[in-house]
Amino acid sequence: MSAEPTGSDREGAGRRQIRCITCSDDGRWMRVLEVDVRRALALCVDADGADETVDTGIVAAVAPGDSLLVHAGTALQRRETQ
Amino acid sequence: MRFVHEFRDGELGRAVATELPALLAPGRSYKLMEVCGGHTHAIYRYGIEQLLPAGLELVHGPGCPVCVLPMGRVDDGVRVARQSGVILTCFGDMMRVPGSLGSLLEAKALGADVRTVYSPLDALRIARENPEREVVFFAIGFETTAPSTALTLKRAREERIANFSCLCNHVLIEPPLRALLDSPDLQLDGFVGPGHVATVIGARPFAFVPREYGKPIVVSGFEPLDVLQSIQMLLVQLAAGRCEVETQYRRVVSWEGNQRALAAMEEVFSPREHFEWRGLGSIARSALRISDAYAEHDAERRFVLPGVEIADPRECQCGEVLRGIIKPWECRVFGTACTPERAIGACMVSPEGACAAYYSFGRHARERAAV
Repeated sequence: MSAEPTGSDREGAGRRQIRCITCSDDGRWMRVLEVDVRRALALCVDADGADETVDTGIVAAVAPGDSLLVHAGTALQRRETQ
Repeated sequence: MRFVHEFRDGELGRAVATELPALLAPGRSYKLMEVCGGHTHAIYRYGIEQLLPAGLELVHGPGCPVCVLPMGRVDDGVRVARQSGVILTCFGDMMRVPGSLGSLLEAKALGADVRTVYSPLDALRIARENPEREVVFFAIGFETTAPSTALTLKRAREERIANFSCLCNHVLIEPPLRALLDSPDLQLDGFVGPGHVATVIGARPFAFVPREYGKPIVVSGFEPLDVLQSIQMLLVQLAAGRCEVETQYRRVVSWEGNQRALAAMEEVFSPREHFEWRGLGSIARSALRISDAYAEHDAERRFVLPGVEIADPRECQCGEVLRGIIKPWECRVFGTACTPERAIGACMVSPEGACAAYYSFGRHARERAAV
């Protein structure tokens, strides 16, 4: 199992891979910080404080504070702010 | 973190485990298959097998897309990476998967420009920043990852990023499940179904498992309590003589799936007539290719690739592990010639491969039990 950071040089830098991203269990809940509605993108942050730009093209309109289940840079599921 | 920590409560896990023995019929043994590599990883990482009663065995299925990718497809990636002017991008786990021409990591060491990314969006950004280079994304994964690739190709078209293409290795979950169920080698009592695949396709597509094969399936989440509860739900069904699709992972999975994701996949991909699976052989309509509508972003049309089938190394028993015929530690090279640092087979490369998961987490518990 890889213990070295395997992210790109900009996005997700410093994250340590303890699970495989290509299968399903890398789905992570992330909180939305900012939304770019026109481009269907959102800046999100995970529980460890790592931020990532996420494609929101297949979930309903998102808003800051929503939780997104993110897999491979794409939001698969949304939960509204509570 | 909500939706995570509450599903890792050890006391609750042990409480669920104490209820399992009463669900087993005396003298009967049970075999349940967890389809997804993510479940295999969770089972070993959290020691779930050690909580299970005697007579209940978990069989690890073929749901790790890195592990089932045949060597010939890795070779195709290496051939593309070696071409002048190309930047090949892929997820980190693909880097070390051995092909007959070596791995992508070895190609990089020999001078090819191979870069790891966390998402297809990263790959598209690299293409945007390097318009003079050909940027190829080595796409891999089940229906969970395919929407991400589809959305990125749609974005590439909208932004007219002409130097971006995709070497598509996306696979589908239903055909290999059918192949396993048709196999006389394997007698299973039920399935722990893949939760995040079902987030995309819904729980409905798994209805063929009870309807046509008479086996229950419970679509499960990936935290330890999710997996334990799914096992419990399967045993309750078996004890009651029921045989249904149930969803344990209701906080995420719907019956119909994500229609927007399915529409994006329908637009960008077409089914392949056949696709080779490591350990399972050629399975009809089990994988996706780039559709004709997106041909300009299809690396298989942009580059000349032989696409030949390459046999696995003779000493490697990944195929039998992937079919659940042998356990990882029963492979003749497990932990000796084949380790995560120097893998012979793909099951030892991906963290979700049964061999790597067992090597990293399970073998120590087994050694303790032996003592």
